[in-house]
Amino acid sequence: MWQYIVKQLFQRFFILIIISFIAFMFLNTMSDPVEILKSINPNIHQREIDIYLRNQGFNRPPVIRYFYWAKNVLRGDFGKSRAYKTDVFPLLMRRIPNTLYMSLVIWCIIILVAIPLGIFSATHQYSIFDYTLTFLAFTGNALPTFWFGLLMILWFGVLPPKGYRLPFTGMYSDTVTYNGQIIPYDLAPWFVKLGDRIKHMILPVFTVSLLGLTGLLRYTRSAMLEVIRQDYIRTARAKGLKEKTVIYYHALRNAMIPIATILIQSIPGLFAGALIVEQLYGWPGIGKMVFDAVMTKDYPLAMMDIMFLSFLTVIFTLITDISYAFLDPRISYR
Amino acid sequence: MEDLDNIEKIQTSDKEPGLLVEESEITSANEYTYTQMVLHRFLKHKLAISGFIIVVILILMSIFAYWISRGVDPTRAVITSRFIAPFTPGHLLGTDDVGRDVWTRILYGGRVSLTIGFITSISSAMVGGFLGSASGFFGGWFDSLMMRIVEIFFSIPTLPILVLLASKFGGSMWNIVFIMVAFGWAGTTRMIRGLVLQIKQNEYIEAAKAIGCSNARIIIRHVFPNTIAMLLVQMTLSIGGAILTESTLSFLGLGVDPSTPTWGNMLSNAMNFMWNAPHLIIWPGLFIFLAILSFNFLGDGLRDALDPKLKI
Repeated sequence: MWQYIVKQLFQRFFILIIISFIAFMFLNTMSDPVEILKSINPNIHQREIDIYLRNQGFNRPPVIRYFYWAKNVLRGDFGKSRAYKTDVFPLLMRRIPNTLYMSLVIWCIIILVAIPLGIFSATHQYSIFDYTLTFLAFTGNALPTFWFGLLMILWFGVLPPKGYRLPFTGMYSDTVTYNGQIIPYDLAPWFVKLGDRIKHMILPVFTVSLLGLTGLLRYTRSAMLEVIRQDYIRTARAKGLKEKTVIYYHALRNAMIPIATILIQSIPGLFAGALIVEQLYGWPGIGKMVFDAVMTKDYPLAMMDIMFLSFLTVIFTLITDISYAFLDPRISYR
Repeated sequence: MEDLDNIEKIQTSDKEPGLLVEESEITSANEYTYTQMVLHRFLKHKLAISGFIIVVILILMSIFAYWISRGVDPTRAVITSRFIAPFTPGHLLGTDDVGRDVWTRILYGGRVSLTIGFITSISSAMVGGFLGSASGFFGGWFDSLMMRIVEIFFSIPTLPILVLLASKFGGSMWNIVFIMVAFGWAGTTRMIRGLVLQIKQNEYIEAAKAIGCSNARIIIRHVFPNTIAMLLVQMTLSIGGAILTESTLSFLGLGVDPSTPTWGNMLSNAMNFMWNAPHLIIWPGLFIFLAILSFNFLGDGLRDALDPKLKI
């Protein structure tokens, strides 16, 4: 077991290195630093450009720059953001809670709704309820996130009369109403702040969780159906156990193995946030930061984000693999 | 995903609920050819049929866009007739911010969106099918190299990289297709590799080897025909995904050049006029949704018809 983990860790570390190389090459061969400088200041003097290029190491080929970058990363220095002019690591750290606020709520809603519905759908297979859920799952699967999000904005943020609209930009308002007065957000008491934040969260959370539900629902349903067809379930029924005991004690515990692993696998997604949704709702999370960094050619920041997300994906794939062995004693790794 | 065929089985069997009946008698009878069986199963799959009909309608709509729109130019802007409400005579779905006819743009947009969807998924299936069967069949260092590469593609956060590539090379339809194929082949490769590994276990492969068939003959005559079903299903299902990715990129402002209408960039344009003309948001999105949904239904039905045991 430990041998397996260590071997895998080395392999995945190697994969990360390759990813970092690919991403670095993509990012660096695609931008001309001179062009960026000139876009900021069209009248910039050639000598200034030369000095900048030498200071930033741009006069070296990208491959050499990659090794300099890697050396700095090993020292814990991910470089400075071009747009924010500060270290990129704290910038990323500041965005993580924003993304987590939203995605944790979404995650909990999805789990709490999808798993019970999936179980119910499986135990009442071919009922009208099951057909409806299956059809809805198909529909949700085909709905483009941004379109559904736009419709939500339209129906709840634009079309209702003033005063009944839900906010759909950012994480909180600049000003809030407290005691009948309009005051800046920072000065408001905590419960007003909380209320304001919750209000801003309703639309994005609803959009993502409704669409995200469908996958887990289908997955739970088929995992459950797979288990229900097994011989030991027939045995349990034949013993004369109550249907509830059979389903919730014998079947569910076994069905939870694949469900739990898929839940672990979805954790990196929590951090990655939904780029599209964050972009749509102006939510200042990691997804939006990646997008902005790529679009404004702030490549040190983009590199940091991409590496952070790949790191999480790689690590959690490994954890998923290992968790199979922990959750299901029948599986063992040499 | 395997439940739809069960639903189908139940519908074809006696009314007793919960009782799983094997395939209807037609599959076991010898007087029917494989094609007839597939056709029979497909025609009984109501969702697949409806998906198929919608797909055909969408394709016909975009092929005959010129005739359906009665020759209206999708890029002709009439600044005096901006934001006309839908269902006005002359403008079935209204007009957009510079007075272009939305219905015409939907028709022409379908051309681009569907073409991108088809070409991307066919190319991904071809690349994935080739690499997947090669690495599954030959194994060894080639296989482990391919699987490492696939793993890398699975670990890279795709959307940021897509955004990066599209921001640099986007604009033309072919570049978008190329970018999407570059990131779409990995899944198919892994799937086909798994299937080929399974096929290799069969006795008929061993028999073919025993009578001295060459590798090429085994691949062409025995392995490849068995992967067609999965490739076809995978391809159909990925058309929806390709349309979605294209429209997502367009929505982020990175897709095909705004002068060519696509469903995605119509939607991204409509977003700016949400307060003046909310109806502009509805139409392009509705067509994206319809296209994806019907391709998914079609793919599901195809899977059940071609090979009910297949799991994708």
